[in-house]
Amino acid sequence: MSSDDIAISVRGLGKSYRIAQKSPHSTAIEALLHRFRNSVERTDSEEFWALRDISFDVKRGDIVGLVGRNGAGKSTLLKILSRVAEPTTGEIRITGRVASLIEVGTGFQPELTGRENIFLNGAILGMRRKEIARRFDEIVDFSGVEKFLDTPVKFYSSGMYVRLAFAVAAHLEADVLLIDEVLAVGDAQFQKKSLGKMEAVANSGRTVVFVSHDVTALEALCHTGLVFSAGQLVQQQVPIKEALSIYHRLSRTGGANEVGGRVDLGDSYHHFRAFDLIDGHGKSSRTVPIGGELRLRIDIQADDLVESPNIVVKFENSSGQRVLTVRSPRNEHAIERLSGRSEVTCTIASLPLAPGEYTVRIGLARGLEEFESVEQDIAFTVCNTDTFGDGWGANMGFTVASAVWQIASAANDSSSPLGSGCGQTGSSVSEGALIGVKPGIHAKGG
Amino acid sequence: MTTSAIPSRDTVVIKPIRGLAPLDLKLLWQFRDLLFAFADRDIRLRYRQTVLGVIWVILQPLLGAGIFSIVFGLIANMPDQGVPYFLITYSGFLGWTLFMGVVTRVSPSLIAHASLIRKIFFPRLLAPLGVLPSVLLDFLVGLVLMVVLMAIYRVAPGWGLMVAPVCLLTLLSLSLGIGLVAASLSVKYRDVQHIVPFFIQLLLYASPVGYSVEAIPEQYRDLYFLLNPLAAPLEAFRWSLIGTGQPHYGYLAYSFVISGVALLIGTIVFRSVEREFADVI
Repeated sequence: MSSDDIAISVRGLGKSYRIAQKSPHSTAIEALLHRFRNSVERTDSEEFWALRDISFDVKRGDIVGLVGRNGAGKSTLLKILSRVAEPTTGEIRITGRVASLIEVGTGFQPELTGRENIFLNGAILGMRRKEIARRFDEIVDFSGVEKFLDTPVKFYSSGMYVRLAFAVAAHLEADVLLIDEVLAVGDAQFQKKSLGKMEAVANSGRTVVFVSHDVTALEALCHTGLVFSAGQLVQQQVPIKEALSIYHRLSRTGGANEVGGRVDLGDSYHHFRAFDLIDGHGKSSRTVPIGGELRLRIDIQADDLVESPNIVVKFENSSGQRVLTVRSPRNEHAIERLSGRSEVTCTIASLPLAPGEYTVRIGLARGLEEFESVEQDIAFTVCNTDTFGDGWGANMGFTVASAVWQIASAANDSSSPLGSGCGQTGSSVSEGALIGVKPGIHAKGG
Repeated sequence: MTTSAIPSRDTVVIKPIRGLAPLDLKLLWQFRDLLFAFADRDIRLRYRQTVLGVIWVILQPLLGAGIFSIVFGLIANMPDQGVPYFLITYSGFLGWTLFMGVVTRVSPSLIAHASLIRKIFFPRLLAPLGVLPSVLLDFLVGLVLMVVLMAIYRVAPGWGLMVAPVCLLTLLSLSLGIGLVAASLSVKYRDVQHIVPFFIQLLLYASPVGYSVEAIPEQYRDLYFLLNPLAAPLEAFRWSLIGTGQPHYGYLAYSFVISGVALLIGTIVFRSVEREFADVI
């Protein structure tokens, strides 16, 4: 690849922040006094490297997702790329005009009307007045707020506000577009529209760098991904799916202390000692077939007596959204008490989660109040198999369910069941009550 | 997007800057529309949010000049040099309003744009520069009123009017220099915001606003001009309009140089702390 094809070239990039240790002087007088007193000793701050020795290239027309946990350095990198923050070391070369959608609506003035804000915000993003005027109708059209153009934006609903802001930013004529979590705004319909807009931007040959916690959006939009962890680039550019699975492997090992599959908690918690996902043979496992059985084994050590506890099992998807919560029952089948060493097994006969990466965590509650929550999680995969026999392995949606289909023929007045894939009807989940499935779409990830 | 990408092949190099950062004039020029967008916003807000709106802009120097006329002209009985005392104080206030307007509006301009600075890149210098048009507009409104007052009192300016632009330029660059230093410092040290109004208050009495330099005993005048670089341009500006006092060309030149240095220092301080703004604000 010739150097002409490279839109962004990053070499040895690093960013350090100084964290004041003892005396953060927020007033000039204090700082002055301090300067006089400690004219010799000046090391009262600690260096923290948010990014260290990052090097990569992005080809023109590529759509790159930056993948990593919170604090991995993705947003810092985006800030440096957009020139909001200065790097401490290294060098970046960007060819072409850069536009950043770091936070939609920054610079909106509540007192000004929609029309006035379009011009102000456009100018803030670096657009010429002429350019804004030329694209004005397009912007208004996309935002769908034409009726309220001459109303101060303080009277806008938050949805309108965000739509207008995104519309301005999205109509910037730029070669390189930096986007941070913008999809986390607006209603589902507008999110779809903005995702479509960004795809169009990318397909028109512009380079896009995208940071999001929303795996669905990343997968839908990006071609390739870079994986960050603790301020370092741990995986150079690979196809986005691969990047996401590396990210998952990383989050799996990050934090959890796994011994032979079983997560050993040691003495960190009052009651929980260990937990593990197991298969039908009692062996540690990290995969569940779609609609298949999931077993969670929990080791509890109760030195004191725990009366009528509820064990809570929490499932989160890769966007960090809680998709399922299973609690031990509170009816006549409730666990009466815990004392001494016990091994609890929770079996979900048919896990209603769509194929994908998930994590599971446990907690102990009395009523709704959870008094012990385990930080560590177990990551597992729901595999794509044709459990339901409908020939549709890849599922559309967030949850799965087995269904019974009946067809009534008007001619002979009799109905016959067509059968269901996994031989189970209804949605009963044994040894646990399903209390919530939250299939949120593109909501802001933690 | 329907339009094609701009065939811009300019390469931007981002790297840590050591030492003094040169002023990127090309970048400022690219963003020139933002200056007017900021100004446009300030002016709209100013005239939309206040009940009195434009009246307030006129009322402020009128009331100030009125009070000073009573205090200095009537009570202290300062020399009026054959001109209605109100004209002396009003013309003083006119120049003063320009200086004070720039200092008090430039110094909080970075804090006011904190959320922008944290998230969006634009030449930071545009935040303080963006307040200038609205201050200048206020000044123009005051100047129109000055013309009206001069017509009422039948006072005509002479050739001395040619000096007025030099006085205004001096006041402008001095105030901008001070404002830039205050704006830069206020990012790190929030008490600067409280110090500036106090300092302005003191300076009002230390400057020939409510009185003419003629009222100062002759033996102290040199010291007065040397200590307060505001004195010469304010006094010369008044002289250029209504002919009272003397232009003191020597000290005007001195103030002109001082104000140039102040602007230079202001710019340097601003540029040297600018790169940390996003990290601190």
